[in-house]
Amino acid sequence: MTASGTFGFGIEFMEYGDISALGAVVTKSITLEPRAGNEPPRIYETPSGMLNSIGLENPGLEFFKEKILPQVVSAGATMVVNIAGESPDEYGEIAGELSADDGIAALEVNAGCPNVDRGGMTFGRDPGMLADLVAAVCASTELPIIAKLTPNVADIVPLVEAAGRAGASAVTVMNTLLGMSVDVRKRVPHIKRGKAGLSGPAIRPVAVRMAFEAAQTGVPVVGAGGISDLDSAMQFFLVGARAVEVGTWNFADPAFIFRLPGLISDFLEQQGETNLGAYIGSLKSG
Amino acid sequence: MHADSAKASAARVLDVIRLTPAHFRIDIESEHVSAASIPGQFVMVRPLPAVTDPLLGRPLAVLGRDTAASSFSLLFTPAGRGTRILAEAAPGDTVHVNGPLGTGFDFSAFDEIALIGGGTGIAPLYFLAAEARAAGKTVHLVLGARTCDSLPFTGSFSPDERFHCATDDGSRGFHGSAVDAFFHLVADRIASNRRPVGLFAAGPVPMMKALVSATREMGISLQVSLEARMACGIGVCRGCVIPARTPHPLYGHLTRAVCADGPVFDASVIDWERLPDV
Ligand SMILES: Cc1cc2nc3c(=O)[nH]c(=O)nc-3n(C[C@H](O)[C@H](O)[C@H](O)COP(=O)(O)OP(=O)(O)OC[C@H]3O[C@@H](n4cnc5c(N)ncnc54)[C@H](O)[C@@H]3O)c2cc1C
Ligand SMILES: Cc1cc2nc3c(=O)[nH]c(=O)nc-3n(C[C@H](O)[C@H](O)[C@H](O)COP(=O)(O)O)c2cc1C
Ligand code: FES
Repeated sequence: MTASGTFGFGIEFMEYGDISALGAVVTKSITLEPRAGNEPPRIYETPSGMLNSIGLENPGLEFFKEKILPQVVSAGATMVVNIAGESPDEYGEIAGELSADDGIAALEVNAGCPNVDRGGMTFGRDPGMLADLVAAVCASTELPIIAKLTPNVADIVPLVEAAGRAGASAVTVMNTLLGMSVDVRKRVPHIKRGKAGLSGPAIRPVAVRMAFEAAQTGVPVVGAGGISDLDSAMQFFLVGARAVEVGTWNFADPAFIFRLPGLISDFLEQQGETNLGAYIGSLKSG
Repeated sequence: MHADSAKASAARVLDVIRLTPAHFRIDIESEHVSAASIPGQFVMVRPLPAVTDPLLGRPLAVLGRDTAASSFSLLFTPAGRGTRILAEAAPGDTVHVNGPLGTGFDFSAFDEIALIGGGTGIAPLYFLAAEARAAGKTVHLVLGARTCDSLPFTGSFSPDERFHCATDDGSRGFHGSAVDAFFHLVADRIASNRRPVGLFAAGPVPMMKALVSATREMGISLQVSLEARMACGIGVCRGCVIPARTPHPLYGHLTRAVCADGPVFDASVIDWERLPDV
């Protein structure tokens, strides 16, 4: 699968591979109204990672449904629409507008964007609020719901459990890790808003650890964070993730994600496994 | 089996040449980039074998191409780690190339064009000059630099009355900025020719702001090539957006992505007051 915000709406990658062959295309977060996003600079490269504060720039639900969705669906992609809002009602309203009839396979609920003033990360930090959010979305749509969680919490387990109990079919672990970088000569932050979301291989061990913890709950986990090669994708499967998302690495090599399924098949064969299911969660203790 | 796409793939370095103390030219084999690029477009380049630090590709404008050799060239000034690694590449090494990307200059409507540039952003102007000349256009090139000798390729353009170098110290060439040089040496001449004329600029934002305010009254077409920090280069990360005066034709926002809506823009689209200088 593709990680939200790193693959556009899928159309942009059609020159690099067959998007219908991917597990799923997860869209950039869609909000009810269009959002222009934050003031630049919005991105800054850090050791093996990058900070971003995009601010959920997107064309809004209506434009997405009318102009973009039909194009991606006709390209044959399995579509997961990532949604974001400022209140459970708003999330519910968006979810109500999206259904299987539109060619959508599932919704991913962004409960952890660190780069907006309202909504975003607040829902993903409190199990009660997260449960209300997931329940509101589930009540508005028949589609399977994946709750995308923020790692900016002391313990992810209560949040995974809350999302599962409220009706989420799976959780995505994880969104970006809150970070900051500053210019010591100009004495200003490298990102206009100061704090920003860290992604890329730099966060991978944190993401693997959190996916491991989340998988222990029994709620199906989608692993994300720093995948940049076959080995890093397999790490998430080994600790129990049922699927993985590639994010920042799509920027470095937009063709990588199209090679990944083949690489995984070859790897499983070498490992003497007939299917991925048998490999998932097969971690032995040290 | 796990083939790369034509647009993003490993490519062989043919040559790396130090043209001046500050400028390197790298020639890279790529049938796709060589065949498909137009002046103003860029590629994202990363070292291979793949490393995670530096993580992202570095955007560099196409300097020129040799279609017979299926190769293209880049002109760059080592600025930080990514470009330094590129300067140390040797023939036979491979690099990862994604491109060509973005929009290019459109000179089809003009008989005569003036190119104004400075700093590290001048590569696309050389490509533009070459292609426009091949198309039979009259091309004026005005480049600003600390000294004329610090510019690459001055040899291949001079002696040509249509090439001007503007320097801070006036040791050779015009004493002043590239924008001043354009107004003193070229503007009157092209105005008196009464032919369709287009201006094309690439370089530091303050230079372009000066050019925009100086040409606003003239009612002359100006296309600019802009730079921004980039992550994806293909319009998906939304990291490179800049303020615009007119709504985006698709999305309606008062912004543009430098990588996908640009890097070449009609100057009237950009909100120059809100555009940061760096
Ligand atoms: C469309 C476009 C075309 C360009 N063409 C050329 C060219 O032909 N020749 C040339 O010498 N330079 C060009 N640049 C600038 C070049 O991309 C930067 O100098 C380079 O990315 C610096 O990387 P670094 O690792 O050496 O430096 P670092 O400072 O280590 O880079 C750190 C980060 O900042 C980004 N960055 C730093 N400076 C710039 C900049 N000016 N523009 C964009 N990103 C920057 C890098 O991409 C990287 O993510 C172009 C930039 C753009 C956007
Ligand atoms: C530029 C950028 C934009 C992102 N936008 C979104 C977004 O709109 N919604 C969302 O849920 N996650 C967003 N993310 C988070 C990613 O989907 C992913 O969870 C995170 O980057 C970790 O994965 P990675 O290290 O593979 O990138 C964004 C990440 C980046 C780098
Ligand atoms: S660099 Fe990603 S949108 Fe322009």
